[in-house]
Amino acid sequence: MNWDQALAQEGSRWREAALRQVDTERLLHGTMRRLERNGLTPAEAMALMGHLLEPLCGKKAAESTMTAASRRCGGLSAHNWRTFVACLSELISSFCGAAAGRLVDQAGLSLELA
Amino acid sequence: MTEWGEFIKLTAYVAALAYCWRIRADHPRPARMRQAWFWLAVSSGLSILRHAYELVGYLADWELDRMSWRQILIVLALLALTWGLVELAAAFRAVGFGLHWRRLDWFWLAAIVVLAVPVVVHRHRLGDANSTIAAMRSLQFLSSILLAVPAALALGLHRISVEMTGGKWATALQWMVAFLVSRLVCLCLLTAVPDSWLVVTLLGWAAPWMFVLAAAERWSVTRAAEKMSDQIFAGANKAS
Repeated sequence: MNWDQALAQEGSRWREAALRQVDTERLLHGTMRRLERNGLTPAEAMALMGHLLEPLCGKKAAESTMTAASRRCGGLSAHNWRTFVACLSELISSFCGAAAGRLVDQAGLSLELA
Repeated sequence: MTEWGEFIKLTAYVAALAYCWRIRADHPRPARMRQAWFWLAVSSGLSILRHAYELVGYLADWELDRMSWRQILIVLALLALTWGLVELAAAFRAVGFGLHWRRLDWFWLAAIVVLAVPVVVHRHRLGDANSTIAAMRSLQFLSSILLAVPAALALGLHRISVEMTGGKWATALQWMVAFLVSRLVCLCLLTAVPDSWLVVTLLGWAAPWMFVLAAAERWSVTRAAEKMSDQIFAGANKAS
């Protein structure tokens, strides 16, 4: 299984978890263990966020909004991940609503970056 | 049967108003999307008044002139709907969606104009065109044109939904497109094809419910996000 498929699978797990009332913290550790890393790179974290947003606003919308957020915060790195998450949250909430913006905030800040 | 039709539409717009108002509250104050859902809620509210007026009119067997006053509510509802759609499209354009129209979109725009022509040409076949009140006849003419404007704006929403590539929001936009176009098709059939009353009646009943489905689908974005958010928050609290 390649990296993209692995992330897609983890994204699906997160979405299903929301429906099955699964403990998210345990799910996050499980995700990290399965991905065999101590932390994600910014690009991997962005891909995971994309899979989380996909059922709400669509694949292309999630991708282009993340690209716009990355451009707005001056490029994506582990150092400015929080700034990126704040930008993404603002952009998502502008067309998906405040609840979706909060989701981006909480999911983004709960990810551990290497 | 006409009374039942009015009741079905009235119920649909009550449901639409409830959804639009909730969605409006999900957007922060200066957001254009908040404005969009506010105006869509206003349009739903005016449509409730319009169908309640018509329902009372049919039940009390009002004469045409008295009934034709509904044109004020129809035009106001269409203006609010148009403005809501403009704000909706503008909110999407601000984040880069719906900026690039394809050749096919221009073809559909031409189709909308073609559909609007028989409505304007044969508008004398519509009930209120025979009202003795000149202002109501003018408003009826205006509402025929105004109905085509939201249908044209629907093309922009369709382009946005295609660009989003799936998701609940895109589904909501597609239902909204169906609602806006079906109303124009309905009026076009009513004026140009006099024998199509059954199709017109069924489509006329279904159209407002398409708007309800659009709003319900958009509201499900908020519900799903809240659910996922709660889970993450609960997990974070447990960890700390």
